[in-house]
Amino acid sequence: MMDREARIREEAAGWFLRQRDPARADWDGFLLWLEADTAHNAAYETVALADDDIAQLIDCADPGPLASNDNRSEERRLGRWRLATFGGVAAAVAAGFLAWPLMMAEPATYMIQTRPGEQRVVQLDGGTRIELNGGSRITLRRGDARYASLDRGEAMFSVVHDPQHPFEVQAGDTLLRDIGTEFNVRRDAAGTGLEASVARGSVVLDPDGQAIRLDAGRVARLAAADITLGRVEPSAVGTWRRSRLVYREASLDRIGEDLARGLGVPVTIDPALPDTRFTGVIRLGKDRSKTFARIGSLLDVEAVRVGEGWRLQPRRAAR
Amino acid sequence: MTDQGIEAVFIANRPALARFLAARGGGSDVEDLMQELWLKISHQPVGPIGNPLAYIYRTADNLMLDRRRGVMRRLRRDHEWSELNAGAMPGVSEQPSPERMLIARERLRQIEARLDALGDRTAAIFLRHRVEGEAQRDIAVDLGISLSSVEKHLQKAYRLIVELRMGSDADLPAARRHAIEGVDHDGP
Repeated sequence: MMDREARIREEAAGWFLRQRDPARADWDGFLLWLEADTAHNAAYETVALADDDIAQLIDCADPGPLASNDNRSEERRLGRWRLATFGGVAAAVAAGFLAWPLMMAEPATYMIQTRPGEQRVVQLDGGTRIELNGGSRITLRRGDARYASLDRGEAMFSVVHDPQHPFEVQAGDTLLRDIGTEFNVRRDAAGTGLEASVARGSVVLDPDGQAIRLDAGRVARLAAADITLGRVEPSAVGTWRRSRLVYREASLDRIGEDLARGLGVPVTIDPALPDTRFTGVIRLGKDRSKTFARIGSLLDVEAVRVGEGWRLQPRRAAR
Repeated sequence: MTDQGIEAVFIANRPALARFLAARGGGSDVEDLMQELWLKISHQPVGPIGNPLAYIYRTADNLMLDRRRGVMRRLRRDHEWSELNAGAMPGVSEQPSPERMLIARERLRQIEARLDALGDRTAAIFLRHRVEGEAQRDIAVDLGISLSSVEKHLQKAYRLIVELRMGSDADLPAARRHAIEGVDHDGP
């Protein structure tokens, strides 16, 4: 199945890894492998150089304080790398083999993200489940299964309640704290608007401030400083997981964002369209052309293909 | 272990070390490289070394990597990453421009997304090992899998990173297709 070059690359990666682990380094075996084929050394060096590249990209992405002789600032810097990007795949290499224990002392966070059109399920310790919609990203803390930051996009949280350790979701400036629940959190593309809807149990929004309690069937919409509370059919919360988008009085902009997230294609809304509201269900199918044709008739707009994406515009008859 | 000890080990293993340097791309320079290696191990202030031979091999390996990096720096002037990273070599204090910073971040995001596409476990193991610096053995124990499976995941991740570096994006359409099918699994 695997071609020769791919096999050599994996072997080279294996040696690269083992030779950096003092407990497993095998220099005699490595020498024999190198001598077996001249391509082996080149492949090994390519692995090392790829590692270098990533270390340098990370350095470039967030150069941090330059007092790199100071171990403490180096430590902070590595911590920040992890928060800022995928934090140092090869920071270990940049910092040197001996600096690894330093990095283990940092509270670790890690990110999980999806491309538009992709969905992922993340299972945390303790039974909590996070389902990530397309074009979304969460940051989690290693060793702390009771926290998640929704950096962008949308996620459905199914939280196993623990009164001693409430589960918290940070979404931008807004904090949500569960009281044993299933809830969906959605941020808009601009990152300013937030919608939290509860399918089961309760969530406290802004627990340290306004402390608004949302029970099942309630939805809270935040735009800037305004909070609007509304009702939602509990079974309609998080239906994107089953390729259904359920709306009540939704704007086309919002629907466009959801379509882009779920289908993985850019969706633009023609500004010439009137600011109408849609109530109903949009089903996302396998065939995009058919899906957009259906969306067109549901929303009473014309869906046209533009390059990689789709545009919703006024119907020709209406012009 | 004293310096004397390390030097004795070096001398006793001279033939094998020369073979190693040759196999690591030393070619006709092996004699010079042996000199360089000798200087490195005999001049480095080192504490007690549990396994002096392994230490010498690691030094030899790094010597060859440094040489290769020097060649690459000269050759890759027009390479996208090196251009991006010019001035960001280890030990060189130069702030990258905001633009380079943005490009680097975007590139890292792309790499991260590609790692994720290899599967949750592969991406997670790779990040734990390389970012958290967790030993492969600890990851294996924690996940309840064998050490060799951990290594397999890491090899897969490295293979991807190498292929990305070589600009071989042959598997991208497959990854994208997979992602799109994910949302449609119970569609019409």
